Amino acid sequence: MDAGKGIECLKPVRTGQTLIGKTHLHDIYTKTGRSGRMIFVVARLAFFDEAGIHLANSDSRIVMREKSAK
Amino acid sequence: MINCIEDVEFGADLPAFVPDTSLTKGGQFAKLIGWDGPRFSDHEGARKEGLPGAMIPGVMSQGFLVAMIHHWAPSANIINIDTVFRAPVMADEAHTISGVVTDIDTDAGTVEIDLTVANTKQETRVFGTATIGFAAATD
Repeated sequence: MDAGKGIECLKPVRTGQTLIGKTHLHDIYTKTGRSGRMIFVVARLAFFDEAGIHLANSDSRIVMREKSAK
Repeated sequence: MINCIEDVEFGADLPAFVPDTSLTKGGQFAKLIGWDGPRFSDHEGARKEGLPGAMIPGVMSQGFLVAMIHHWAPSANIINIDTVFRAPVMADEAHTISGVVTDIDTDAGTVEIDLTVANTKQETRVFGTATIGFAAATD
């Protein structure tokens, strides 16, 4: 399931600018609720300009419910 | 209108913002960002995918939140915005966006705002937090 999205703006993105996006697995963490443990996976898409200047990050979080061992 | 951090009051409500959540606009936005498909542009096609109808793309909802902030504080910079999609924002259904100032850091020049997108039944569809920055005031 989609657990949310976060945007972090580091530098302005100019109109017409060429962007380079690189995605990596940024974080994995768990939360335990009444229905059991849930695993959150954060994929970070980092945007750079052609000179390699880091412009922004976009984090996409997905959540999975842990399957019972039964 | 907010021009500098000194204008911001803790607990202040941002002016309510009514986003255009029409199917036409949602479909156009989805196509523009290369995310074309019936789930954003065709109610019947979305139902065939098992959805209750066409949805507004999540990143478009984020855009509405940013637009609301900039209507309120045109000179502010969005430093980050984090959203949780609790339920779909359905196309062709009316929604309102509300925001409230939850923190002010005058030393850092930043303000935190809690944001909510709700439908006419007052059901929260999206909520989030934004941190915005103001340039230091000049004399």
